Amino acid sequence: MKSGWKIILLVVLIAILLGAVCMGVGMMTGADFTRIWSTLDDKYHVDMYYQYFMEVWSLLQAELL
Amino acid sequence: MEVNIINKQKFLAELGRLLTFMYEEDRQTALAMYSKMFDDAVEEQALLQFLVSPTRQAVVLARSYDAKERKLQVHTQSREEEPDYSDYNGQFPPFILAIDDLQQSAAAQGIFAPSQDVPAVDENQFSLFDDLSAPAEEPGYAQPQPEVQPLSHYPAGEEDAAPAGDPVSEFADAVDAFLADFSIAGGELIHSHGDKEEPREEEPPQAEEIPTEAEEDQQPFHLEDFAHAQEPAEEEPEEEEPEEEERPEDGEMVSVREEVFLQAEEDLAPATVRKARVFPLILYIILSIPITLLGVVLLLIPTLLSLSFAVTFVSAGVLVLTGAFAGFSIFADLMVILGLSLVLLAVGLLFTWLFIWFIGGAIAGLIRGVIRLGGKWCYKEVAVQ
Repeated sequence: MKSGWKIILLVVLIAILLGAVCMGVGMMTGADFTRIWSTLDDKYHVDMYYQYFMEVWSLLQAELL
Repeated sequence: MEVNIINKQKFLAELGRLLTFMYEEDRQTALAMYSKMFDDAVEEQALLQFLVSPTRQAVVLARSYDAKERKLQVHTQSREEEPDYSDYNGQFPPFILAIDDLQQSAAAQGIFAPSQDVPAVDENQFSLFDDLSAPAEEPGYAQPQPEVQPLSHYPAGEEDAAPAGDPVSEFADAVDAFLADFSIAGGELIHSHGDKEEPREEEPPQAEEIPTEAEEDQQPFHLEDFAHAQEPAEEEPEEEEPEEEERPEDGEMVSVREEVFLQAEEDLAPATVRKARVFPLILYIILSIPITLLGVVLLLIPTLLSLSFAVTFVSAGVLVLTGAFAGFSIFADLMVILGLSLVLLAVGLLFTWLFIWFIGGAIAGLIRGVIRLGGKWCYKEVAVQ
């Protein structure tokens, strides 16, 4: 288990660092989050799911609190 | 005369009892040779004085006896009715040569009757020494000395104590010096120097190498050879063979007394058995089961949360990764999406590992710990009588 933790943490750390570097490079080379969001929404309807979860959360807050 | 007969019988009986470390064939041969010496002696009392004691003769034979090499010889001869010593690497076994030396020394002192007609030993026995002894027409029992040099391998210091030029005195003094390390108490031979339990080097059996044994003979004699002599005389040599096989091959000998001591320690070690204490065990079971279940349920909450987060993040990472190759045409946006997918997959991997750790480490460890604690608290070691 101890060696498993070491390996997993090392892999996770490397992947996060690589991801951060990629995102940094993308941001420095002119990436636009609005454009990315619209592209993903066109493909996966992200805005619809986002609206759905926000409505559910509002209902839960109204019922529980 | 009757006293002499009794002494001879006592001598041979005691010698036979002390020679039980030898194989039966060799023991019988040695006793036959000693018996023949008594038969050929002019005065048995003189021969007894020359031989001094059965213990001394047993020591002489033990020093020249190599049980390991003789074991092979005896095994090969086991199918034959009579022992054949002629194939002992082309020479006779050292213990026969030692007895032969003794006979020559006794003959030199005039203990044996000089006779032209009757040989000192019978024809069969005498034929064993064809390679080493004198021709049959040589008078008396005396045999030529150059072939065998029995007295040249004793320590120089011991030789100095003996009168120069008297081989019998040198021999007796050498044996006396050797016997000084031993004492006999209650019929047992006791070694007075415990620090001399070093392994004894194997003596080469060939007669031409006997002069080189001088260095070996300066080493202390091993009690192990004589430990066998303390066993009952009626014990068969076959009973000793398994013990011989268990000994180390490199010649490192452990004395029989140490073996017996270790065996006794093992026998005396108390055998224990785990016995349950019933009332604490029942109480522990009643209490531990609900507590363990509660702990498992509590641990299941972070476990399932980890699983759900792992599924969520891995799914999101895979969707983002596939989406990166679907509709993005700008390199900068593609790099951001790839970086985001890597981060999501990394976090998903971390939660997956957390889920595995909760299942296999935390929950299983809790159950194992409860069982181990119950075994520690509710069982006790009881010595078996």
